[in-house]
Amino acid sequence: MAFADSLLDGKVPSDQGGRGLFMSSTRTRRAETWLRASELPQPMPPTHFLRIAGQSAREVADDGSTEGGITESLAMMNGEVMEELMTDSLAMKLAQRESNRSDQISLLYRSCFSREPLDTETQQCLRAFSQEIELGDILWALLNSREFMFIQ
Amino acid sequence: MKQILDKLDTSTRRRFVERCAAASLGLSILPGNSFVSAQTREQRHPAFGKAKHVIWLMLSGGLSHIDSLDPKKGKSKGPAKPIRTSASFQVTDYFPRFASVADRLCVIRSMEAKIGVHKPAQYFMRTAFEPRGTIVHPTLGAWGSHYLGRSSDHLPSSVCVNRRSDQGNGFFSSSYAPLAIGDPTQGISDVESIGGRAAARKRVALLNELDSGFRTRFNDKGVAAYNGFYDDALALMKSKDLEAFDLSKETSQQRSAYGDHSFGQGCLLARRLVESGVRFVEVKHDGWDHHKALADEMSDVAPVFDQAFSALIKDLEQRGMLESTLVVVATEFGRKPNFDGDGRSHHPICFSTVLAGGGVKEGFVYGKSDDAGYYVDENPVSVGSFHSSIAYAAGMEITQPAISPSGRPMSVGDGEQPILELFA
Repeated sequence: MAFADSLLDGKVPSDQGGRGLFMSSTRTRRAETWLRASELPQPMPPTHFLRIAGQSAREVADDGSTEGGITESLAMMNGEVMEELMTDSLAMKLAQRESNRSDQISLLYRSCFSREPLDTETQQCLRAFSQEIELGDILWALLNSREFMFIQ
Repeated sequence: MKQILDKLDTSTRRRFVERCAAASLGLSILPGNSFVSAQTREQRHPAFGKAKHVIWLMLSGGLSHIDSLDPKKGKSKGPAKPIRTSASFQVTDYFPRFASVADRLCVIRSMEAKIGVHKPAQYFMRTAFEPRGTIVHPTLGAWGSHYLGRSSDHLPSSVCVNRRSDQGNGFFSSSYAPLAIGDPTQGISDVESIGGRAAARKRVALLNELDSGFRTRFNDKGVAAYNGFYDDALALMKSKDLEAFDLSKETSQQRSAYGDHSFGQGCLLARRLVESGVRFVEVKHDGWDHHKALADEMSDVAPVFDQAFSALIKDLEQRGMLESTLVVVATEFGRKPNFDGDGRSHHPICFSTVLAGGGVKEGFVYGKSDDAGYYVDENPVSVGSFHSSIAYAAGMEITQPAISPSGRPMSVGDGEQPILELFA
């Protein structure tokens, strides 16, 4: 629980990879980019992930949107944010520390959906591992699922 | 086949009466549609279907008609002087390059709308319907996909530049939604799979397997729309024509002719896209909401539009594409004749738009505002008939209403008639 509290504060112990819910600060390359949405200037440039996901341009009032689109799907599947999440996120780092596959899967499910995987889901992921799927691909699949998009 | 399926839809009461009347009395009811439905192929105006492509330039914020396309004398006059154009009408001196291509344009000075608030007014301008209840209405790009099918095998039929894809497919399937390009100079991003195609295929298979339970249990409109976006995104990633989105294939001369800003480059991208088979492209230009310091702000934003628009018209003409491409300049409303401080407020009941190419008359002014520029004086053009005219030029069978998911018949331009006097 102490760990969950530290996540909420945005203060993750340094040995667990720095600040932010999903991001670690070990890669300095984009250190200034990885901030919480509320800490960023608004509006962000038009190609930024937040704008693609519906942030208002603030040209006129009440202009945010929750509708998706092809551009958003492309960014979720292939974008820079996703690439970073798959390789360098706190969720991935913690999952990699788990000793067996089932625990790794469970940690990713808890990180993304706040629930344990069903037995069938664990089985499906384990089968995927045997077909050269990596841990990052599991995270990719969870974050691109409709369940992640629609359950808050 | 689609019509057979439509017959199974819920809206059969109206159809039933309609068919009875048609069968037993030889009558066609729904009088709103009688004009064009009476047209056979031979009776159609030659302009029908000439516009294979539509480029819709959206001046967001509300273009002051008096300071641009409809200059006035006396109290209403703004900071700019009227100038001659290559046609018989005048514009203000904010738009000298526009003036030089005026002989290819049709200016409408009698647009009429009702909504004076940006967001709903933009919705109205893009869809010709007022936002009402839960129903969402489609743009002309989506109507085009409905009536005419896909415009290209490898590219989306509808693209919007400098804006998101909302206000797009409306009640139609999400496959009619436009593709959104946030920055035209970057073109389309994120089309390369992380770690190559083979890895991507496996990931997608795993995603569909893990997520299938959720998709079956919560099979609502929102989830179905997202399924569609993912399908389209995956199809686009495989497309062979992605070069169409790449402005670096243009010469630096060409790029600077359109102007070094997102609107100019957006117009250039629009030309590339229609050339490659995209039917409908919207390019949005922000910054026309001049409540304060109108003179200063117009001198910032007007030259950007002036340069990009005139470059687009000349470029299309040189490539022989102006005949088959309808360029539309639209805005959500005009601005008041009287000044409020050093700016003007919103004025939806009289404003101006432009049509060019695609079989529209050249060097022509349609409609007239009164001396102050406050009311429409002659030949009012509703947003609905503006839409119907564009749809007619694009060759859509606008007399055949589409049935919305709630079972209501819906027509392009809310069923209003096209204005055939606009066409050559």
